[in-house]
Amino acid sequence: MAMLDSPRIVTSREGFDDSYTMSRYLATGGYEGLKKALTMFPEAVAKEVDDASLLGRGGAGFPAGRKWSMLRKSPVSYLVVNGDESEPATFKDHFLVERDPHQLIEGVIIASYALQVSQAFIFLRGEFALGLERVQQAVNDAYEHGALGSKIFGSDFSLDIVIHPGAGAYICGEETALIEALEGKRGFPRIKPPFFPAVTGLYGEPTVVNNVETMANLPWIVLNGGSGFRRSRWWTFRRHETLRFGRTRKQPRRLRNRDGEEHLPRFDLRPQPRWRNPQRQEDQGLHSWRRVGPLVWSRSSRPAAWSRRSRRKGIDARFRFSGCHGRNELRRACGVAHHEVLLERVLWPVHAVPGRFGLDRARDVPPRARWRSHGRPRVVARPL
Amino acid sequence: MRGTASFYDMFHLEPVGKYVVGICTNIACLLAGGQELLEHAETSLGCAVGSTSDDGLFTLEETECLADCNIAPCVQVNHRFVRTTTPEALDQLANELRSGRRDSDIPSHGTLIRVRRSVGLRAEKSEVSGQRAAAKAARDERASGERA
Repeated sequence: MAMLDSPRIVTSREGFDDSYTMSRYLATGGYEGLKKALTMFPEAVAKEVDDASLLGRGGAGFPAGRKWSMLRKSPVSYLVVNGDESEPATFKDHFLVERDPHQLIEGVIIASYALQVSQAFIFLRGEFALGLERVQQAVNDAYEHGALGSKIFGSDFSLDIVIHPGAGAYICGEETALIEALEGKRGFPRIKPPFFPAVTGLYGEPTVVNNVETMANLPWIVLNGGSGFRRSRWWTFRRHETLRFGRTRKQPRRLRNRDGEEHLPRFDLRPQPRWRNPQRQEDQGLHSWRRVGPLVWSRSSRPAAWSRRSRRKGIDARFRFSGCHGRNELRRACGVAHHEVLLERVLWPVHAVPGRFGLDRARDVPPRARWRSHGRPRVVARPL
Repeated sequence: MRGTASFYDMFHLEPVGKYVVGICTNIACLLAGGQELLEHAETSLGCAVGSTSDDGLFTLEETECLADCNIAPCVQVNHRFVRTTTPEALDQLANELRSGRRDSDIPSHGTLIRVRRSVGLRAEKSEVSGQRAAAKAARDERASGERA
């Protein structure tokens, strides 16, 4: 498949043990995107991102370029990076923060330049102690290198980045709650309207809140151009999103989280081939294909899917969304006895999500027809 | 004050041990045996969930998703991932912590980040106050515009 040749964007340094150090980052083309961005006009950088039709990687999939264009003109505005990743079965930001902090920093600097913001905040959840240390070290190194601070690389642009550790609250992943937490209050979401922090955000000033992975994409976009980013696409969004967001139908690869009953849980970066025979499937990493039951697509705020014939045919059986099925049917299909209520207790709220596609976070589920050509999303959970 | 402190999980209203051990029992970890690991930890660390052991060394906590689901069940000591997924590994970790062999990579509770911010932008006071005045003027203008 041609998609296998598409470039690695945010995970290009995955193979290096010292991928978080400044020396490795510079040796692998680090801060080149920033240098190029500083030779462009800020509006041109924003236009590249708009051309790339980069969708926000936090889950809601709002186009980053459009979010930026909504920023109200003001003498003071802020950029906030949302690294409060706490959705169950999601760990991509954790990986990016620990393994490639400089890429995040570079993305933040580019975004700040495009938005002409002189103060940026990176809000990371406090549980990422190692990630916090690495990002702080990266900021210190970037200052020494001249990529941060006053007059970055000899240009007129100055920027400061503050790392803010969260104090442990799931709700702070919501952008207005995150802003409240950043101001030092309880992380309660704000009452809307105003609907967007781009109007009234941090300290009452216009603020852009973006996800860590969105920021990590920016150096590549600037280096290769927005059209280059769009050409590297392989993921198709659902039609209703096409209607809503116009030409943002296809997206370049994004990180998907893969864990559970697998030999090598890691990020799913490539479309997986179908598993026609069990041996192949073993090679692909499943411990036991007989025991695959309910599947949770990458986040638990999404209906679980399960295989009606999972015990007989393994993962190759047809999956159905469980939203339209009863809990007993789900339990029987997974081969779980009544007394093992633990599973039911856990899965019930998941599969009781109203509507077929559930909450607004359920965005990166491919249409079923695409599974064959693009490979199916991988297993996240298994029955007890 | 208390409302804010009790809102966040990482703030403790009572003294805790030197090592705060958090074990995730959210869905991915639960399916991988997080609950069993938590029950094992109660016996091996000598404290119930939410309490501190008698020697003041360990506090055991049940946590929500820690975003390390690829190595489930997820265990943290002082908010650092230790990647012990089996009861045996947890016992070994507890022994190492007791004997102080992990002091280099796991500082005692209370130290979250060992890397300090050594840099920052230096701005003239007049410049800062000018920016603040401009921001306040813009806010006032906006507020008066909304009222009108």
